[in-house]
Amino acid sequence: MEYIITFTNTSFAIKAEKTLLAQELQVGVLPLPSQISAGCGICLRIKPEEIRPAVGFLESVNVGEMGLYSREIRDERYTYQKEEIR
Amino acid sequence: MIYFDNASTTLKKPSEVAEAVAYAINNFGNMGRSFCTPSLLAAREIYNTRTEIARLVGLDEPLNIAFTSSATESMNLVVGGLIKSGDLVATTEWEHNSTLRPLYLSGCQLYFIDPHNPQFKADTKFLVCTHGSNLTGDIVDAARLYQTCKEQGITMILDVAQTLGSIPVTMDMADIFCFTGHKGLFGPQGTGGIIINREFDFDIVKTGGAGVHTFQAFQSKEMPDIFEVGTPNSHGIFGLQKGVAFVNQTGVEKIHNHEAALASLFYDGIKHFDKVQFYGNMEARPRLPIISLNIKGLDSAELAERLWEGYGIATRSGGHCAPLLHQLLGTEDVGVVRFSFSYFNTKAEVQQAISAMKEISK
Repeated sequence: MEYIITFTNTSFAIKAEKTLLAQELQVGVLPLPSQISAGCGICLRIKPEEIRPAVGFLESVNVGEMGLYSREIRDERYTYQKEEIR
Repeated sequence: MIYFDNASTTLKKPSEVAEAVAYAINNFGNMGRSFCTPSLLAAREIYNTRTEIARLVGLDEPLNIAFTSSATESMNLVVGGLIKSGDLVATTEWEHNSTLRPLYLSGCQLYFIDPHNPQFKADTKFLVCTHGSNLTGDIVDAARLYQTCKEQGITMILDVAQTLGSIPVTMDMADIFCFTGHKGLFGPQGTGGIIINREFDFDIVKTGGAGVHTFQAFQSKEMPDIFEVGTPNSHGIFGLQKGVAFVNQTGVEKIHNHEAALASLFYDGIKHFDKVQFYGNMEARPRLPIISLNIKGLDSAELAERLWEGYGIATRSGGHCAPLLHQLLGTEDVGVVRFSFSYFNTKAEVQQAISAMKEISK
């Protein structure tokens, strides 16, 4: 299981990536899954053990409105579950 | 060639600027359109350019900077996005057409103030003005104007096309700044932007694909997306980043001191020539590194032609897109020849220009 953080635009996502990398957290960039939001864009992938500090760091800077999702593989496909930010 | 047309565009750039543009052309994908490495490379470097500019002006939030193609486009977007028909708007007679024409088009009620002694009418909503005249090099005390605007509830929009990179531009000078990348910031042409000091509810005046919210009918109103529609000029913006980094590393004060010394050297070398007439307050400090002049009896175009054909000195003649200031100066019929200096010009070049002016003005 891992976590996905979404943003309202690409610039916020890039700012968030830079913020987390500066804190030496492991962060990946992914295309925004259609199950979360139809369209395009990017989101961040965070390991479960780092999601709480990651959210904490991002809440201390302006990255707009975030969405938090957990992601697991079921029947060889990703499934997404919306989570509370706090 | 001796290039003294830097107020039009700086010709010599730090070498890193062209290197960055070449790198970007060969390596950048389209920001925000996918997550592959080339696309993310573009997105990250565009963000890094915002942080470099934020550092230059003392801005805390890099995403309060949006990129455009020019200061002209910036002014069109800001005026079009904020000023409504009938709004009472103050400006000055120093303005470039890139400010005047969007204001005329807006249908606002426009009136003119003396930037050194502003008298605002009641119910004025906006002041839109230049920080420094592209024609005379004279500077406006923007920080003082902004203080007055804040006291009177007026939103101040500042055109820093001529000043950013050449003299200090800080966030205590306006609510909104419109800048270009290719002059004092040493970036490529086709770059510019908008800096905001606080939140504004801009109307959407430019819309299309932005890489997100594909199925929504309307463009996002968030900064910087509201102004960044379509594929960004990531190649140019990466070049701009290197130009701004050069300015940050060198220091605006050092750049200004060098440019001002060249302008003073030129002015002192020709001010005693009988036929030479100058425009602007030559004694004011600071002022932009611009010396605008005419030789009595000579059309500005003819003087510029003689300088170029006879001496290889590039200047700009004519109206400089500043129609109202020319009317104030009484030069609308002959124009003015503008010498504008850059950090990369030398004293030896200025001495050659003094010699040329001595011969021509005999």
